[in-house]
Amino acid sequence: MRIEGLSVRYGGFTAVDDVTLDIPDGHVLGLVGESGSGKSSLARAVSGLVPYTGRITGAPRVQMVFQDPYASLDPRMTVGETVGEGIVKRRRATEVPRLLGLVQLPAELAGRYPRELSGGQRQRVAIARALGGEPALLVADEITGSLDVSVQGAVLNLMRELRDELGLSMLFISHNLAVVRYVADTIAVMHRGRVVEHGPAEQVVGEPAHDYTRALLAAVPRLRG
Amino acid sequence: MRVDDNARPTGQSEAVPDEGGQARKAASRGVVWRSPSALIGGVLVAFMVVLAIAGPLIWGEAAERIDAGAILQGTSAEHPLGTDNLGRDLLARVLVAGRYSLALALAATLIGAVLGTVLGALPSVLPRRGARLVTGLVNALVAFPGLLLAMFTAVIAGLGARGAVLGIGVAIAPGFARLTQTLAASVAGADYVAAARMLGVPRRRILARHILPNIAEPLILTLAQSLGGALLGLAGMSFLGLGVQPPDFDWGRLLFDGFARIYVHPEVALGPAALVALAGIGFNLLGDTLARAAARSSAGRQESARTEPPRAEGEPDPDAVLEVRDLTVSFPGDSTPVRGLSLTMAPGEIVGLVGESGSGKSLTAAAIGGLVPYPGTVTYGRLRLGGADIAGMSGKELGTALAMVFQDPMASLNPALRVGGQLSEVAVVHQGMSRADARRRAVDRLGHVHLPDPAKQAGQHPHELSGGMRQRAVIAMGLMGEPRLIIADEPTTALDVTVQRQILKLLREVVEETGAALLFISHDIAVVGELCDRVVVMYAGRVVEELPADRLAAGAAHPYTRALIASLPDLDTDRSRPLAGIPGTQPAPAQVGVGCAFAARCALATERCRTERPELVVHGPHRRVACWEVTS
Amino acid sequence: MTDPRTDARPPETPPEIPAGAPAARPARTADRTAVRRALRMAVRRIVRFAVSLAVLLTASFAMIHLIPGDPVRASLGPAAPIELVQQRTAALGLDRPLPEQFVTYVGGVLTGDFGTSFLTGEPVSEVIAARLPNTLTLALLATAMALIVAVPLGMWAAVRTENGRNRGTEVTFGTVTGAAVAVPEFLYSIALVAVLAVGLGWFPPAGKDGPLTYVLPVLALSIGSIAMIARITRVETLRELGTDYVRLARAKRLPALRLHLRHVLPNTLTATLTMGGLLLTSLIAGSVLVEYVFAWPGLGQKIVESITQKDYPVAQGVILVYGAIVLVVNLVVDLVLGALDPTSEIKEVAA
Repeated sequence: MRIEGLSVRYGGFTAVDDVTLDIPDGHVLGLVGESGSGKSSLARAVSGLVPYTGRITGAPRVQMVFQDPYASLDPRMTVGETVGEGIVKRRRATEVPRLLGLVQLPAELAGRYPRELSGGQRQRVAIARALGGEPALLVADEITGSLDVSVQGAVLNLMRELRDELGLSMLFISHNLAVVRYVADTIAVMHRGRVVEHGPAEQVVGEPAHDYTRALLAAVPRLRG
Repeated sequence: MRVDDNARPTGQSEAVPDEGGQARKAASRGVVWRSPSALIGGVLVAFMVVLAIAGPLIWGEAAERIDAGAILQGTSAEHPLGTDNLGRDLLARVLVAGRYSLALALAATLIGAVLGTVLGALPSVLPRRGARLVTGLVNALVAFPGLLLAMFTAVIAGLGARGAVLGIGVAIAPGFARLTQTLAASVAGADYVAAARMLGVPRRRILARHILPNIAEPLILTLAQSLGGALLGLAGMSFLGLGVQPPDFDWGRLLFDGFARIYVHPEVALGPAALVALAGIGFNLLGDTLARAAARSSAGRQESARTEPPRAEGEPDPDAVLEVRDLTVSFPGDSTPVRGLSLTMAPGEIVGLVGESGSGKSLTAAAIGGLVPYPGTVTYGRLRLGGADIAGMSGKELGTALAMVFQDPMASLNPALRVGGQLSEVAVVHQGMSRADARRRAVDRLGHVHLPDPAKQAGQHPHELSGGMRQRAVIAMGLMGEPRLIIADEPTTALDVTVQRQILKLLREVVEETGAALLFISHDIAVVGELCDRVVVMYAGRVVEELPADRLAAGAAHPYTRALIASLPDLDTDRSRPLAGIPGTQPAPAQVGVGCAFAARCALATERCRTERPELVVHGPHRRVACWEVTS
Repeated sequence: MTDPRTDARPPETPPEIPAGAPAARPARTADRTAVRRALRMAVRRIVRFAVSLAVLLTASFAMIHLIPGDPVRASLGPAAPIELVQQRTAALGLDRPLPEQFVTYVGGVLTGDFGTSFLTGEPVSEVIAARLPNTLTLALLATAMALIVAVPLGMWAAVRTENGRNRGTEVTFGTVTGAAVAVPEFLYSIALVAVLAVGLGWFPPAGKDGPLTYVLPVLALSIGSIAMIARITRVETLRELGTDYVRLARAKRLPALRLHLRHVLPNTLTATLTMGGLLLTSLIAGSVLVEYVFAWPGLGQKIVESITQKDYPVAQGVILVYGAIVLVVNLVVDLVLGALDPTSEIKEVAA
């Protein structure tokens, strides 16, 4: 999949400015940047949720997982109904348990409502719903941003397993460099709407080429000792 | 950005804002229905319904009985509300008119609701230009008082019941349209609709599955209030002679006839007036209740048993800046988010209080600052600041000795006041400084936190500053007095990492310069490890471990602390191995059992852990831990 | 469901607020952006006002033509001789082609000519000029009274019932104001006339003749609004009391009075002002019924009379004036709010 010369404008403000990126099949592209860098706008453009200029080729089906698992599930639909939303009726009965299994949730959860689930479980449901759309590309926008650290690990592991098992391509967005580094094959650093650096994950973190990447890395808090 | 909201005492249940926007965790639907306004509303509406059904059956005949011998009488035993110009009994007529009045109101409400819902839903179906036109029309109509719209329509449709019903229907419609539009827009903007759209769910289905169910409830609830409004509007129209015409009569018409005689027999006007008023009150109160019931959560309210405050043993530590013994914060419903917390801080010490959402860390900060919201109860064995009991300190002493910094710098400064004014306030109120002196000090303090051009920034409103700058201003505000203790509750969580770094540096500078102690609360163990001297780890309301910050990475003893550190990916994490996590979830403050709260998620847990709670005991120099497996 | 293009908002921090940007943009640029945005907003509001006014003008013109049948015949009655009807129709220009009539009508309105009354032959503009001040006085007095009583009342209730303390006060306040809101002005009017004027004789029951005659109409017009505004003020104040900056002010141990007057009140003003504007317009409408009860020589009394007597030019003119007042008040409120609070969009407080 290829993003070419993509720009997103809101009125006179350019959120994403002429971004070109490649995501090979089965690859995870990590996108880091601070608030206002345009990373979420890019995600929404790729998902077709905001208008853009430029070209996106080679990604027929895109699904997205959102940051806030409390806002991204319809409170009036059960887990089963939510997960089965994009699936043709006759396959729903078999597909929903399979998808729930993929995200490591028990099939019994299908009858529950989102309010009965924890944040981590909700996020898994959102991931299962996205998988139901059989995406060629999965866009994950700060999906652990509102989860506790002890739950975050399991969700990140799940994303990696899904990539390995299903050969899923992913656009993985986070403000947290350590998280992106863990999940992504290549990392693109965004700053004020532009991609300032793009390279293999270890290289971007280990030998940053751009000043902004270096500043970002230097700011990551680390445990001493 | 991550929003850590563990000041919310009932852990799992979602706090739903009531009309006051206050998280009212304790009111259930049941409580809403037991309020007097619900009761009065329900009884009145029930009475009106019964009257509408039974009234004409019982008094129909009496209402039409003409008595030439008793024309235009006032109150008498036979005719409690007097008689009209044909000698008909007015009480009977008032009671009979209920059905017609309610029926007309119902018709007008239905017209208004249908018209309004269609108008409100149209923009979602129409092409962009048409949608904007309809939205504009609705916005313009909403601004017009209903009565004007009703009169306009009545002029066209002609005098009489038909014209009035149409008029009131038209008058109700814009409000409904606006409500439908607002609700639909908010649901349409929801992430789950975006997700459905990406899954290729057709528009029609999204409307039927997601949007309609989520807006139907508030719309239907509005009907009760609209019905009341329509009833009053129709009464008004008839009262002006623009509505129901003889020989038909509704309450408004009776009022019209009665009003002509008000100087002689006021009671003939007061009878119908009272019924109209009662009906209006009934529908309005019921509508209020319905709206509130829909907004409330379903958590139950219970009174908790008060416990005696524990007595602190031993002598107070004279050198400590902050000394807390057995601090407990509890809320009604047996919810105890902070349980017997003890903490001592030395001058110039930076202590990190770390824990996940729901661990009670933010409430601990609020309790020390005296900011626990009602109905929370705070008890402690000892709470001393700078060597004095906090309970005995004056507002002036506390206001200058204690500084607080909160998570969201956007929300921490009053948007209506200039930055400088908010800073100098403390000095004026507590230190008796003149305005000019206070302002000079404010500018000085702003410069101190490295705000560029402090004199100019002092004259600006908060919205003119960036997030990082605002957080600096809040810190400067704390430095207006002579703080002995700074409590910073997630001060960098809402900020970008590069800004976070600057704020952490500033906090350290401030501590070194002023000698104040800093209690730094955060969910992020890496930040705490980097900034602090000592770390206090909280889980389910209790301290589970205390250790020097530089021992975090290698020397943590408690299984929870270790698991927390292990689940944190850093820039050197092995990418080929799965990240650690902790299975299960932290128990809610009302559901903490007898044993170790972490036992259910702990790989090392034994039977003893589940039944007997480990105390926090000394475990090496400057270290304490609460775990059977570590200490025994 | 909205088209994705129409609800395209930047999901991240909007560009106007330099939030957490490592290098805050120079303050001067921020100033200029704010001013420019405020101006843009003002221009938008004025355009919207002009469009609404045009729509209103069209609607009031259309009113007379939408009446089924012949309005002149309807007005003069079935017994009127056909020559009179024709003569009156011609005098009103109703026999001309519609576009021409429209141009004449708009031209007339813009030069202050609203036509003449069917019944009295008086110019409608004179009728309006004589009565409008009386209506406005009544509405303004009632608005002032409502705000003066209701804002402190609402704040007091909020402070007393914050976080669910003093359930008794909360319940009483909610029930009483809930009931008071539900009773329309004309019922208050009737009750006041019956009790205070006819029963006790303390005040004159009707007419406009000296200060005492103002008391009952103003009271009748403002009671419901007092309840309504007090409720809204309480809600707004409660919201303010829950904000971080109020927590911070409490942490600073500011005296309660200072906290409430300096930190809370200014932030509730936006909503109160919006309410005040809505209130004024709703009171102008409410005054129709109140004027009728108290025989107050205002526009309201005239409009009722003209509708029942089918004096269409008067009804048309008065409705147009009412509509224009509503639009002007809304415009003024919008502009004032925009000037006061350039950062936030106007809070739409539903009446």
